[in-house]
Amino acid sequence: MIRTAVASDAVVIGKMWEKLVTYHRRIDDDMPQATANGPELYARSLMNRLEDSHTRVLVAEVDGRVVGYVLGVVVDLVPEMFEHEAGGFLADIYVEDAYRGRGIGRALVENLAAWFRTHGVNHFEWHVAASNVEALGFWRALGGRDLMIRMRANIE
Amino acid sequence: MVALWHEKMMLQSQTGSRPALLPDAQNRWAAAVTAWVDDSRCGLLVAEHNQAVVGFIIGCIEDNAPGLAPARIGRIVDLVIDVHSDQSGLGRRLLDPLCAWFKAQEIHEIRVQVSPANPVEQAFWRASGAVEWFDVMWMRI
Repeated sequence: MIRTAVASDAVVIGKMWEKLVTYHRRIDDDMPQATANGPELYARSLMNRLEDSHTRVLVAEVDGRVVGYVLGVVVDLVPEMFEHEAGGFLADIYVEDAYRGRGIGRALVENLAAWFRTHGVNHFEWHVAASNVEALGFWRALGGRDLMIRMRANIE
Repeated sequence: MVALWHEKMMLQSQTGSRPALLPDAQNRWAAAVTAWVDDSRCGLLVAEHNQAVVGFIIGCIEDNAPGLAPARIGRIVDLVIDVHSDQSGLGRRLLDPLCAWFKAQEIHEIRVQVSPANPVEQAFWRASGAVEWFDVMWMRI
């Protein structure tokens, strides 16, 4: 079952976010590192936006247990020099390891896309770790197309 | 600067990139440059040759996402070189002082977005120490 997140989901979402960050760090040392209180900061930030009409947090429940979530925002991603298109941004998505391969990720994306459409959004963007082969395959299977490559460099 | 930026955008649009430029995009970009010049979180450097601007770089300091380190990062807004210029090494000569400015502001990580259809730009950034980090993807719904 996919449903809108509520305040009592904060802790479990914070923990899933931490797993997402840890997974990224495991496949690539250059991935962002969580601060010591990162999960709490992230969960608090999410919960503060639950009433925000431009933000949607959905969770996937199996047998009463939250096993995945997605965070999306309606946002103007286009600089003012370009034709305006109402757009969405999928900021984070995570499904617990044991529940992958059951269509839960796809269901989260489809439900978020349906919510985007109710806000007049006709496209959305997201970032995928370049080293996350599994996620790239997931997104390409859903019809995701390449837009830009995001690069980083240390300037120590 | 406006003409150089517009030429880069027109070249990029030939690769089918999205979204499309507005008819008054150059005026809008000129207004944005004025805002960047006045913004203490942004650095803007130009390269001149024979009193003509042959390239520029713009970088801004931004907050990282909640819960992630470092707290602030440097974003390269634009790096544009006149494709007709015979000045080699211009990109590096623009990037190095911008990085020095970032470091003076306690910024030690920079991020930049490049087009997947622009291998020259990708090669420049790789040669400058950048690594491919995230793919920005999209879909219509």
